[in-house]
Amino acid sequence: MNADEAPPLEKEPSIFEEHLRRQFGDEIARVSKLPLMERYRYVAWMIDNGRKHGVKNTREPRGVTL
Amino acid sequence: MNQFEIIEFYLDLVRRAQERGIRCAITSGMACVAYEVAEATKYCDLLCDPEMDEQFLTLLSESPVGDAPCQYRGNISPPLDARWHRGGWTSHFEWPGTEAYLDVFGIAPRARSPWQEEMLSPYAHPHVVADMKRTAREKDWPFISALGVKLVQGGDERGWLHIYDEERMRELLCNHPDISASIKKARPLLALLLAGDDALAPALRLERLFWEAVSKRRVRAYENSLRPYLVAVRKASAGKQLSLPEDHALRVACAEEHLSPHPLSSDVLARMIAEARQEALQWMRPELERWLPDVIPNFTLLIPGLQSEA
Repeated sequence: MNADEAPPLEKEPSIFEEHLRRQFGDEIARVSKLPLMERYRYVAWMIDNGRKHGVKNTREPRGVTL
Repeated sequence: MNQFEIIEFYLDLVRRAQERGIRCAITSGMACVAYEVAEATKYCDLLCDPEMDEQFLTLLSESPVGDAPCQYRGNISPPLDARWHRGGWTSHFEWPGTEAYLDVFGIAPRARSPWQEEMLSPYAHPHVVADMKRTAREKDWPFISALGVKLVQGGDERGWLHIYDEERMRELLCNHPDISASIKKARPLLALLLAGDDALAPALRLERLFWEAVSKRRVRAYENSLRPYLVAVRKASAGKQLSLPEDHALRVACAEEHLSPHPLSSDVLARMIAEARQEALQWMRPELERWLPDVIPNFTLLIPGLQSEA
């Protein structure tokens, strides 16, 4: 599989999508259905936008993964 | 360089690593995006087989972002070396002047099985990603449940180990009523789900509190072990401009003297688990303790020879 392809997992949409909607909101549930590179593009846009508005989303190195 | 270009760089880096035969897998936030659970993360978390750390370091030293060469991020980063990566350490990298950040580690925290055995390349398997997300951070937990739901709906019953949403569990059970004995044994509270018992909700809450308490202590054990190494790297590198291979050699020398390769022993883990049980139970009814899972299987990859009591 190439890095820009979505992994082939089957799903019944309703329960999974309902979970996304409740936990993350309508927008993330919608974005999660886009093709993989579009999803990445959206995530990148969120980060760029946050950065532009002064959001500091920095993870300090700790020598260990949480 | 915008964030999408950085993501493309990460994907290309992993593609080139795999072309060189380096076993590695993207995990955490980027893997969640791949599994249709969009998470905003600007970091790339990468599992790399410790046996191939040397080759991966070579690839990093040949992989600038624009004009920026790769370098270790801060004094605190342990070396990308199998001796420390087998013990659960993480190496941090950056490309100065850009927003590209890469964390590399060899053992997936809390994973019950080696990530190398089961991948959806270039990503770690969602079962591994879900185990990894059991952190002390509030924000990680909805992702665990989402991955669990996805696994169950995809026909992988290991998803039942990862769902912390009572309502979703009950809905899923209608379409997926058969749960094997091994899964029920790994997660005792599934008996409450199957029995339609109202104690499921508080048992789920307790299990999560317990995991958060275990994970907090795990990170603390590593951080406490890191301090002498941090001081040594700071002293040895003061005022020097080092290339990645030079910096790596310096860090290995400091680590050989000051950094324990395996800060988590079976004794430390046993103490951590006992304390975490106590901490979690102070908020909950004591009789719920019987529904807590045995978490030893989540540490057997990290601590060779560790045996589960069950």
